[in-house]
Amino acid sequence: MKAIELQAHYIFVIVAGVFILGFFIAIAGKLRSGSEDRAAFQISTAIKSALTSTAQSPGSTLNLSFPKLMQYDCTNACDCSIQIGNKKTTIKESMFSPKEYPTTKATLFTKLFGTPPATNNIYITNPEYKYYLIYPEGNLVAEQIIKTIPEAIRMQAIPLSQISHLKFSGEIHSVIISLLLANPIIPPPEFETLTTIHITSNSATYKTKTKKASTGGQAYFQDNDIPSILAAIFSANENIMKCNLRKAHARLEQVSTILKARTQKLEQITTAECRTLYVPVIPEIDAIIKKTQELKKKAGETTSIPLNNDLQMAQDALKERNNVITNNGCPLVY
Amino acid sequence: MKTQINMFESIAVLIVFMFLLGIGLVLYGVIHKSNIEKDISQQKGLKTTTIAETAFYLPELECTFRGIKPPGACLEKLKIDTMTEIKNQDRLYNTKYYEMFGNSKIEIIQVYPRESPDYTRVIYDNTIPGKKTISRTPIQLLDITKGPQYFAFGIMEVTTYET
Repeated sequence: MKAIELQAHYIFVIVAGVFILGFFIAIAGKLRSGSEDRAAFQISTAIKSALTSTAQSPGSTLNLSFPKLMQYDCTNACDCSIQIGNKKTTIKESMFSPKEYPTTKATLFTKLFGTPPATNNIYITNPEYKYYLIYPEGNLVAEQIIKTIPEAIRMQAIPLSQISHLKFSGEIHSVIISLLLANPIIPPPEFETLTTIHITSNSATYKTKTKKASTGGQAYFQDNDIPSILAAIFSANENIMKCNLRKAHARLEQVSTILKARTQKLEQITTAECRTLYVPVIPEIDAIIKKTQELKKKAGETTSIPLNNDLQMAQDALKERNNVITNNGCPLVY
Repeated sequence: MKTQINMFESIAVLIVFMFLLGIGLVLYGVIHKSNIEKDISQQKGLKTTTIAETAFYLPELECTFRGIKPPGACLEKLKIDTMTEIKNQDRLYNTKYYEMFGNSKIEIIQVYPRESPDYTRVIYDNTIPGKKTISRTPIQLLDITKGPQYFAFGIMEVTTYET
């Protein structure tokens, strides 16, 4: 009897102990997930602020460190967001980036977009991504692109005549870009995880090959447009490129609308000499607004897109007008 | 009888233990909650600052200069007036700038020299009922209608709203 009592006592103690332990484990689990959510939220907010600050300074290059691996993607509805842990944060800036970051480091640089200057495009990549840029020698657009990319980016520019220099360097992800070539370069078999991008004067064709799957797509842009070509190089796929180019064109439209109204006011309040200089500016800004409205809708679509460079011509004309206005000592358009 | 007493004793110990644990958890919850509220308030402040920073560097508002730009945030009054007029005319204005400014109100107030009537312009207004966080930042206001280097002193007031 006493033995049974003792056994019952011990069983009771064990059962009670299990309940208490279970209780503590549940509390610890809840606290841990709450802390992780909080950390992810703080990290996302901090990154968002860092991106906002960086987007204000054109031509800057920055190295960032994240505490966790980051992912970036744009949905078909062009909702672009970064994901750190469970937390997704929408990014409003035009950001051209790979989808996945194999390490917690990133290199970021910005370039001014548009005339009038509308926004700073953010190009972001990981040190484990290496870009092999194969280009035709003597091509001015290609050489300008290569000069634009900062040295901090892991890039190897290879003229087509030296294609034998294309060799795998041990990076986690390779990006082979056939820049302004008639035909895409076929990568050697030693490249296992790679993205190939065939960029012509107005299109970018993506093919991504990883151990898990292969994907691909194509997007169009305005003829020989340097910001669009840069966007194509640093985007993981055509969707990221298309969505962020749309954002950039939307900003250009917004800024041009305000500056057009401002120029109309300037026409009324300035001296007679300056007034004559502002008159031809309005149609040029109108042309920019009209073209950006078209490109905002069509940027990157595979349907027909204006293959001419009307927007570039309108922007160049506005730049020239602004220089003339500057030389005459009148208030600048932008 | 003795066994029952022992059992009741164990149960009583457990109950007291649970009671003490409960008190400890409640205290921890109160402290944790105040830490979270502090974090949330910091994040709101950061959000308001981010919106202000975005507004300072908007090409639609930034001063245009020949040569070197002076330090500090500078906004042009003609651009502010233009943006305010477009805000009043364009029904889609708030939609276009919502991604940038969210649920907030951005107001520019000229402090010196004082004008009559007071120079106050609201360049974005998308208020919702709820708690608000206000941030005020001093700015330079360039008035090109009075000269290429005519500056006034003003404040940008950014109010963000949360439900």
